[in-house]
Amino acid sequence: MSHPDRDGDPADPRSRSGEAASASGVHAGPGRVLLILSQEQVAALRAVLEGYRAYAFCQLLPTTERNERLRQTQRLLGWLHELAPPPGSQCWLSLLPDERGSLQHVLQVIREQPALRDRWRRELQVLAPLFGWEDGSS
Amino acid sequence: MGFWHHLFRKRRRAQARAASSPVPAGTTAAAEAPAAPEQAGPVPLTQRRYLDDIPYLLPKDPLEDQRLNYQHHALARTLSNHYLAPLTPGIRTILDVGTGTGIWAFEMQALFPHACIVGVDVSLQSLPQPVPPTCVFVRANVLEGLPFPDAQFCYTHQRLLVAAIPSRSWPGVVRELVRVTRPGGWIELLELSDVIQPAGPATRRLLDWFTGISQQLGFEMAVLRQLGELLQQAGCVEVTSQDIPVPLGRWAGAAGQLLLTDVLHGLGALKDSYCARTTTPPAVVDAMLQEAAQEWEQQQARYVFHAAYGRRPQP
Repeated sequence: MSHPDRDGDPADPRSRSGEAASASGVHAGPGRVLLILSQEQVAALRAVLEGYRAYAFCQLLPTTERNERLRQTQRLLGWLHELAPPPGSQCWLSLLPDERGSLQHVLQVIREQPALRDRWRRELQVLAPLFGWEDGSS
Repeated sequence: MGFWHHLFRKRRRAQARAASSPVPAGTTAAAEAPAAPEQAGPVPLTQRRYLDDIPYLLPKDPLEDQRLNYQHHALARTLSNHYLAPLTPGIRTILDVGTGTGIWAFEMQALFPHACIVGVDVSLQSLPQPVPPTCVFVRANVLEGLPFPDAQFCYTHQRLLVAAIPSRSWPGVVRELVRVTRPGGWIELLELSDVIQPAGPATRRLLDWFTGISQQLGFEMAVLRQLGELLQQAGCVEVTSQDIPVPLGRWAGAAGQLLLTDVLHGLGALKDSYCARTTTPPAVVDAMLQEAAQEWEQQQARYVFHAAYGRRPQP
């Protein structure tokens, strides 16, 4: 598929990656990963991604790689903002492999930098079970 | 309106005066960057064209259009995207207030080909001719209200209208943006500031001169630090405010060079207009610009942009 932008075509209905909804009707699909999130985890993930974005704008010089990472973070934030309040206690987030990879990269950056890790220690603890981090924060 | 008539009578008188010189030398863009605004030599103020009876401090002419397109690319490179709000593919209606040359609208159309994108400006003369049919453009002045019913747009975008919106008008303008946005839709504001960090003496002198005159004309830069508060006051929720310190100068590579060129041409265009209202000779401002630009390289300066986005609440 050719895209007008390196991001791809976010409005292409065929690429509704990460289309998020609560409850039923959402399937992982080929190559996708479903993240099952509690409301608390949604809030933690939003806080961490917003924080990473602010950090990147302030601390990292504009490069192709930084910009790509920022766009992916922005897209993930879009999905998180669109998550409907779940009828139960959990939301479902369906991610393409590159989105999942981007999310893991951002979280890795945060966990590896003591200042960032300390700033979002509580959020990382909340997210730990989701990503299988053993010590809960780092 | 008395104040504005007075102001723009002054502008027309100013246009008749002799003018100014270009931005400092050595500010061309990097090779891979889009073409910088051309300025082969001094452009007399008499050759710049301004909108009559509209409180807009910058020129409205082909040279300024070129700068606006250049600025668009500089911002995209430094901010990583054409927008900051967490949009999803579902958006179907987008409004661009102060669309200028329409370049933002056209590029958003490429990103969101299923969306209807509407651009609004007080003058449509900067649009490419013939106007590509992919977007719709409407002539309107946001200071007088937008010609749309309530709740029309999924996403309303407005940026870099500091030279077009007097400080006292900001709250009303933001309320108007919220009014035309659908419940659950996003409103985004992006403005430059009067902050360059770190600021040496030449930079402070330069900023003081520009902000002092802007203030006299009713354009208070301080209001731009409150974009998030303005959105909240207008009823928005999930408001995110961010100061983005964008690298300014060749020290930061191609992106810094792009912004440097844009800032110098932008301040150069304002200088033409401001010098005509003061006793400061253009050559003095040029010298201030050159000194400041040197500081930016030495001190690895960053120009702070203010951004905020928020959501119109669901009923």
